[in-house]
Amino acid sequence: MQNSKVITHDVIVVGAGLAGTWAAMTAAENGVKDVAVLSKIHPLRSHSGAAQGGIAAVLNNVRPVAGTGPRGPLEQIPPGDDPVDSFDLHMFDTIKGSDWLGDQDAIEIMVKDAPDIVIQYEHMGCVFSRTPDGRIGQRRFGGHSAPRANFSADRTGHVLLHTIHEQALLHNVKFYSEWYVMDLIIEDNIARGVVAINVLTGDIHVLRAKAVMFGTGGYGQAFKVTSNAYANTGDGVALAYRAGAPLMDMEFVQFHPTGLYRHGFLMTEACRGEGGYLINKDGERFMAKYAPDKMELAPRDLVSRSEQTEINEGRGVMEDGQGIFLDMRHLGREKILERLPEVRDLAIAFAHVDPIDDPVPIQPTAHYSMGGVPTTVDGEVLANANGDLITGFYAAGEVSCVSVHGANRLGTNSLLEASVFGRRAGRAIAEFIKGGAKLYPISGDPAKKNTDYVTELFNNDGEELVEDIVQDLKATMTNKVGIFRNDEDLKSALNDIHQLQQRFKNIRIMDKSSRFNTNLSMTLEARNLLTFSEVIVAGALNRTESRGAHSRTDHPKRDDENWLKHTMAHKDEDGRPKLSYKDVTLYWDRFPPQERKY
Amino acid sequence: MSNKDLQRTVTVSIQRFNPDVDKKPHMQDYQVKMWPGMTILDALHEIKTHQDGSVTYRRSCRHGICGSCAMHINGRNTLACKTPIISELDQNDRVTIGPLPYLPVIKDMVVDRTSFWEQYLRVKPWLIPPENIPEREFRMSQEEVKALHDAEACIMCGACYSSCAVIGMNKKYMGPHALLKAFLRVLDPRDTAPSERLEIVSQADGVARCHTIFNCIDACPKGLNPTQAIETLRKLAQKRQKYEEAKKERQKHLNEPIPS
Amino acid sequence: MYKSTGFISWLLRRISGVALVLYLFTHLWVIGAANSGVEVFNNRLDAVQTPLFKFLEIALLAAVVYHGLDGIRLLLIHYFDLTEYRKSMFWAVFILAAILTLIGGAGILIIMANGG
Repeated sequence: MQNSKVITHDVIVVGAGLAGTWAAMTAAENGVKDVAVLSKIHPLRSHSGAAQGGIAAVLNNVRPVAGTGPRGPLEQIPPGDDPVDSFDLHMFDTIKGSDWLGDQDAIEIMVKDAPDIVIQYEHMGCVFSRTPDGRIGQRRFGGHSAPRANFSADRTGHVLLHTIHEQALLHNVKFYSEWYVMDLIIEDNIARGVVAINVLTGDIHVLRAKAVMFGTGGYGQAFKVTSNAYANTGDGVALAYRAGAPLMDMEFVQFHPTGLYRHGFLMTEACRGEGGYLINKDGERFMAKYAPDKMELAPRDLVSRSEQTEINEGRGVMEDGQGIFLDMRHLGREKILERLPEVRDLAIAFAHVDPIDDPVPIQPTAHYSMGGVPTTVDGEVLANANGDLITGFYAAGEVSCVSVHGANRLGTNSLLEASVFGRRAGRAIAEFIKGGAKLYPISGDPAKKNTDYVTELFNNDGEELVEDIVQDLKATMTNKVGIFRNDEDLKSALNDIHQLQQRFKNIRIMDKSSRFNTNLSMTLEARNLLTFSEVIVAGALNRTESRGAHSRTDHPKRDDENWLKHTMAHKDEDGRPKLSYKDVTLYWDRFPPQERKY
Repeated sequence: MSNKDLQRTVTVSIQRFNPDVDKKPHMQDYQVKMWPGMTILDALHEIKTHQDGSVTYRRSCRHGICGSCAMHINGRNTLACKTPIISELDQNDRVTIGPLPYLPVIKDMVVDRTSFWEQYLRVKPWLIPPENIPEREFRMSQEEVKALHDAEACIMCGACYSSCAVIGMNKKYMGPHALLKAFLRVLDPRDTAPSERLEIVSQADGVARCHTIFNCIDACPKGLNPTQAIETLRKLAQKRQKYEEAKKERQKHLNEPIPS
Repeated sequence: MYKSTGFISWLLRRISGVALVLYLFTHLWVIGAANSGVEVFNNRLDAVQTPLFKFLEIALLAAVVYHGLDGIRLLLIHYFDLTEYRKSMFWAVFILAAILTLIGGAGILIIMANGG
């Protein structure tokens, strides 16, 4: 902490997953020489790499075999034959999946950019699974009316991440690996830089830039059972919020139906896409009750709610009745080995069952954060519900809320979102820089402010261990702000969080060394968890309807008249979330709101 | 084994070293109460968050895809997140954990991977595509994809690299990870620089340095086979000319459907 | 060092290789004496017929046999994908080399004991 420097770059990107790396590479490709990416873990460890199932795009490579029904086999489309998929269909599926909260202009852009970006990945060297005639393989996915999940076995995210990282290296993007960003500097609505800890040495530096971009990912670690990595602590949303940027639609947290029981690890939706069944204690495919048409391939919020209902009504499996079985035995050995090898490996390693021979125990798991920092379709961060921008601040990927997923995200649309809007943000940043963006001065001494804060944390020899506070937060969020919410639970949750924030003042950090202090970074992450969790609860409490992933037992219906709008949350002077609302962009003539049934 | 047995207290012996304060590495023991299904990573998390915050290690995804938590457990390299603690206990209910060998230790289980990443860059991991880029995707056959499956599944965790006795003696050796990556690109039908790549891996510190000790295969948490990739590169390097011609021939048809 | 069968195999390969090179120099030193006349030649030959050198001969046999068999193993590995059998191949070389050394060594010792 002794050697604080001021480092300057044209562009600073925080987060080296798909969104951040696309933005950095695209900016570099478009003439910005000085792009730096900061990541608190090595770029290749980013959680984008954990995505499994596929990336959605209307490529029309594959169609269902005629006459075999919605779960039948797929075949490649012979050249010249009619396509089965269209932009309109992809749009409609996404809009319906979002329960009509998605901004349709943004969805249109994403859907239309999709084929190009998937092809670009392939041209950059991504190894996709293929159809017999050599085209990119596609499979079915929940909520999609046509097979448009372009996949690479069940490690699509992994291959995309490695490919884009290699390309960024080729374009001489500079990576600051294991630098933890702890503060964002916004003054007079202009983003000026960040403050980061070089984890290796413990030194805290100020990094100035003409443009700052956040690709920091989601915040599943606020929950007990989550598919998210330890790293997904919502640092980006917390930093942006504390720096004065709004957060949008935070109450919409997606619970993925098939997380491995107890651990929460993702068992890709493709398990169901390839034909897997969900079975309750009585051996029945209970989805017939909740989504007779799409069955297991209904959108995630619906399936999770169905599972949770089965569990709550006593038809769950495993000793505590909190599980559901995912049965893939009928898929056959060959298909599982070829298309779902990673998932099989997980089941064997962590649940001690082989999906070839036995059903796999799963449960709903906190998976994706629909909410985040609101942006335009070019990744520019909004300052308020009126659409004013924060100059020089960009965001894309899970940390952002454009919004393309609205109240619930369809699978394979996240890899797509991160790639499309990461690229668009990169272009927008390049335009901004080439158009004469300035390097604004930073007032005060943010290095000292943050160093003092860290010193204060070190010297604060309180009685609480950070982990205990985090575990209590996770319990609150999972039990009271989970799949089914109600007024009483949410109010209680808000209370819990305020108490936890108080308790946080009494913590003790055990490791006070400066070298590679992950005790410190975990503490700062905990602070972030407490910050944005409050915003989630506030939004959920105020939204007296059920829409998409936000399900209230005391307000079970969707209420378009009062609630067809985005929640915006700003931090007020007392540090509490102040809510306002923003309209949803709808094409009333093309995709008017409908009842959402599957 | 009854449930009670699975929840007993065990000893986790960790190699500690902070160069700022320690003269040399030393072992430190911690007691941990197991729960059913607990992994080494879970045990470390328990120790770090409740007993000794200074125990330092890298981790992220918890399920074997990010590659952060490769470390040395009971004498072999593997991912901490995928190793159940119960299978690692010796007769004294003890498991021994240390950093990956052969790399400089930054702190406890965190090692300096500079040489690892340098070798990765050295083989030019990005695709070098042909000049005529079609509007749609290049065509690759299912067999061609299958041949690349091992190489593209690599998560760059470093377990192989730091288990290799050659690396132990010669930090300039490219290493199984880089050679596996080179193999990916050499075999990729879309790559147009096979000669250049084979040239790179045929350098003094390339494929020739592999002595088929096979530690890499034993260490790889993904069950990959870098040695076979290296052998294939060796063979191809010997017939560089022929391979390049075969590739050029294949690339004439890269935009055509694969015949059935 | 990261301990493994593969590492031992490699180590023995190196040691046997070095030993063979040393043997070569020794051998040339002995045979080369042919240029220096009968007496020098006989002296050197006697020097390497002592019991010590008989034991070294057994060691030489071990080196030749191990290095040769391991060489065959390497050739097979090079041309075929025998990853699945890697451990058994290491052990096959160890054991075969040991057996051949024992048999040959026994032979050398017996001949030595019988004054030949």
